[in-house]
Amino acid sequence: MNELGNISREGLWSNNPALVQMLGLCPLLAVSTSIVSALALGLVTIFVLTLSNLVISAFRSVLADSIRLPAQIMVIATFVTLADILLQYWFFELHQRIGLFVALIVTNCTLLGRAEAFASRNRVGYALVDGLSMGLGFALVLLAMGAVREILGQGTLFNNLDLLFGAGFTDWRIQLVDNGFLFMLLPPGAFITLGFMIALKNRLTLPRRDQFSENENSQKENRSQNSSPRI
Amino acid sequence: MMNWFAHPVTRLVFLGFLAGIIITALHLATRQVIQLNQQQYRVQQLRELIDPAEDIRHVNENLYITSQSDLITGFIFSASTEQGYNGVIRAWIAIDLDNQVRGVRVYAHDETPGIGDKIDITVSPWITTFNEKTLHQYDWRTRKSGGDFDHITGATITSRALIHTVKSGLMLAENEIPTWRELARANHE
Repeated sequence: MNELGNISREGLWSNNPALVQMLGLCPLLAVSTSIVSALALGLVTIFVLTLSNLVISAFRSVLADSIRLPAQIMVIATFVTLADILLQYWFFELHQRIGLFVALIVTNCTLLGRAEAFASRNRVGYALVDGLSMGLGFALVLLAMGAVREILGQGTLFNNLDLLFGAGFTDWRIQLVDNGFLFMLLPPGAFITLGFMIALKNRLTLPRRDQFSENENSQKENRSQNSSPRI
Repeated sequence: MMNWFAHPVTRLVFLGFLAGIIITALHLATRQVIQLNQQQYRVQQLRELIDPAEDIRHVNENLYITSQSDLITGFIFSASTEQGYNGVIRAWIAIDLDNQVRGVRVYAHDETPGIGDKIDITVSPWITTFNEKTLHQYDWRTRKSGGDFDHITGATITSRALIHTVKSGLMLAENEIPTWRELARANHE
């Protein structure tokens, strides 16, 4: 049980795919312009990551080393395609907006990273929890960025939520200020928002300068363990 | 036992086959609804350009006929330009039988957010400037260049591209209206 708790803590916070591993930046930066796109892409990522982890873990004994990577990519691509079709089936108008980025989830390195680093070496149950928590960790960062950029860039919150949940949610739209700061909606705004969020995360978890000198060596070790290999 | 399955390539092919079957199955199961969604989405966009009482009939990907109680009232056709600031701008142009503009809607573009995207009706009403315009009674240039059309502040290139697109659309329509009428009649029967 404790093991499962550790796995979920890793995905949500201490080894968060977006803030610590810094994987999947392409969708993270491109889609975080509003809450509704961030939420939609976050949900699709959780869906794909969980299921691909599950399947890859279940098949791990059949997949020899030589074909492991192509097989993993194939599994991921299959689930992305399924998600893409389902999105067109249920939320066509939303798909018109974020469809391009749904297909790009295949290239989100978080997925291949978790498949290779975790799912192909662990039991199905663990792989499931890992997929869920990594997906959720990614989605939460995406959502936070979406909220910040929507407020600053457009001056609204929960705009167009009806695309995802139906007409009843049109009223959720909150107009905070009349005009936004356009810069935040453009790519540089995405980089700056992410930069601030990583800085905040490091501020909360890394030791402060005055504490640093005391146990410098042990902290250095800690940090090198924290940063997992990039793919 | 199951020697054929031992080779990694066989396994990979098998997995690919399985993935193909699953995707094909879902595609076949959802195809009709997705096609319907697509048409509904399209028609819903086009409806904004006409009276609620009118009907829209699909002729082909780029042409729709509008009618009211079986009489043709006009056409909606698509036009595109690459003269914008960034990429292709695609728009629907609705005209009546006298080739007067009933409305224009941009449905795909990559213009700069906050500046050039004012061609999108959800961002700014600028696009309604084309309503009720005709090809010959107006000078199809920006006011700055001595024409009859206001441009979007800060987005002269985008505005010019749009004005030019609507103008060429109307020039095309002038020649094509007889053909389109034939098509409409054939389509109706």
